[in-house]
Amino acid sequence: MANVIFKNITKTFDDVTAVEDFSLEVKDKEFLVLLGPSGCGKTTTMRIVAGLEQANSGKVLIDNNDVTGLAPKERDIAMVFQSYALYPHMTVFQNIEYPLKIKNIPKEKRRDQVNKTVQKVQLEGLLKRLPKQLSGGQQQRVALARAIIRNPKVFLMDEPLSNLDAKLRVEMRAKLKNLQNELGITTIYVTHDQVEAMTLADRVVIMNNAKISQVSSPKEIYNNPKNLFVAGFVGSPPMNFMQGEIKNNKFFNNYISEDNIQISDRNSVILGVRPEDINVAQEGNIKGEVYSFELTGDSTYVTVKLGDDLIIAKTESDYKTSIGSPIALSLNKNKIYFFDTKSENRIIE
Amino acid sequence: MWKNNFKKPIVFLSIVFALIYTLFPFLYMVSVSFKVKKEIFAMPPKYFNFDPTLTHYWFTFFNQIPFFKFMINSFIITSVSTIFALILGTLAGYSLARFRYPGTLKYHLAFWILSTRMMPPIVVVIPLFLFFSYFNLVNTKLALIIAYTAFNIPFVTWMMRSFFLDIPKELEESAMVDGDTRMGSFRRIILPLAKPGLAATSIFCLILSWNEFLFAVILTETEISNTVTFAIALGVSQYQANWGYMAASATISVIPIIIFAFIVQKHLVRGLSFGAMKG
Repeated sequence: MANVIFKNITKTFDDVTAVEDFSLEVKDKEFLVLLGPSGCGKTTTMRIVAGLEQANSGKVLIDNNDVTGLAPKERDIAMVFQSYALYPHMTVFQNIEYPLKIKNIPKEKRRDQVNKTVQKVQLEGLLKRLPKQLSGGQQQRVALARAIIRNPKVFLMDEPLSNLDAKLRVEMRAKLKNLQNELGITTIYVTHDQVEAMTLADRVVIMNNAKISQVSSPKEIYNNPKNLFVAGFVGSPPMNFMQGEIKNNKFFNNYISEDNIQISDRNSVILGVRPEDINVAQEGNIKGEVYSFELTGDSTYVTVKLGDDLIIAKTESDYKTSIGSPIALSLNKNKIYFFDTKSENRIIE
Repeated sequence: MWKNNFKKPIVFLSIVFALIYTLFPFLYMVSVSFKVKKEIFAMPPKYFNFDPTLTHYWFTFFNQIPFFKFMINSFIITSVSTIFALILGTLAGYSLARFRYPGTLKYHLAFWILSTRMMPPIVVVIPLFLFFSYFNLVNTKLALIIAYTAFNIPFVTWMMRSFFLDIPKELEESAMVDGDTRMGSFRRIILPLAKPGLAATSIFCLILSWNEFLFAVILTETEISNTVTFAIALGVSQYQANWGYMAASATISVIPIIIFAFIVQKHLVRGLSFGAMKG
């Protein structure tokens, strides 16, 4: 239906730069997730697409039309807010009907369309209630219905699931993905929850300090992080980092030494390795002591103390140990990453 | 338990005291309006055990003072100025609650608007008189409408600003994304939610304008523009004070405000917009 193009968008609030030189193309029918810590500029970026904020410089194109200076209503977009923003004085029916009513669509047609939309999100029988008489999940679905009733060019979703409880969130996540696929509407989705981002997205945009850190598929983001920030932000528990030195194809610090590193000599590098790529064994080249261990059901996370560093390793759920006992670790050689200490970019040679 | 057993009577007694304190003068005014002159001055005062008379009401409506005309003047001046002040103040309050202003301008603007209410009205009454006489507006209803509107705007602005701040701004943002204009979302979404605020504010404005006396005395001269407060004050003359007349006319003048308060009473109960946003 429509693509969205950002061309060098910059937005500042007084002295604070919220978005800096943001350029990106969201493809037609794509589910794009903006992921980042709070204050990274992801919500501002979305609000610029909606027309609720005006960028200081740069352009936004929807369906190849420049919409930079246009009012929100002229952009043919729909948005779901974190708070749902249901109109409290209107019934569910009136809420969902509102976008059509403004367009002066005849009453009969409005009713038909509301009924059709309501079926898609399973809200039948609740049409006469006021928003405050609904549960959180129901309110969320009303907001969704109000967004999809118009068949907009672009969907914008600002952390729509963050007010739901954990179980409902998983349920709605699947529902959202399914609905987006069915409707085939280009979607931009903002979240700080990496699980949501990884599960929903066709592509993830990771933002940090007003800038894009990396744009890739979820798999690529996880397996090939471009820099220290992305590597540390995605994954739970997060990637382990250890500072050290590389000399003669060997990485080493006080506790670890790894041979056969295909990187030229450097005085200061950061080694990164994910918990699942660390093997826990009786014998291994890294020796430490157990700091704590947590059973999560299908696996156990062991926190190991190496000097001043704490390293988390993932192992089987039936692994037994006790706090303070000695432990040995070995790293999966194919799955370790090196980052430059200064630029924090990944070193690939 | 201790808390509950003691709290209830204390709260109850406080309310009774507050009611007596505020309602006694009102009750006394009404009772005086039904007493003959001798009983008005009776010592000890007679609160209920007197022979009611309608003389003063008769006098109010059918002597030389065109009391009805004054009532109508007050009606026009109060309602028009309240409507003007509500329109201008509501828009100003919305602007202060929602829009971005450069630097600290918003704070200064809001404070400046409020500061116009900080001086005693008598300070401005002479300049206002000169100003109105320059434009030939002395002794017109328009003069009082302008003066009361100006006096009510800061109040409306601040009241409505705080009501608008209570309404989440996502609501009108959502409305605008849904295809509405800024004004449309203001009219269809924000104003209905601010109804309790509008009701409360309009009552205050009405009372303030209806009861105003100083400007009314100085800016008006004849029955073309004289207000009901002026009419009540006519009971005091060089040689006597006609308490019966003043009590009767004051009692009548209170009635419209009470009626209006009853009409908007149900809107005064806030809470419609609360709790609807959270999941």
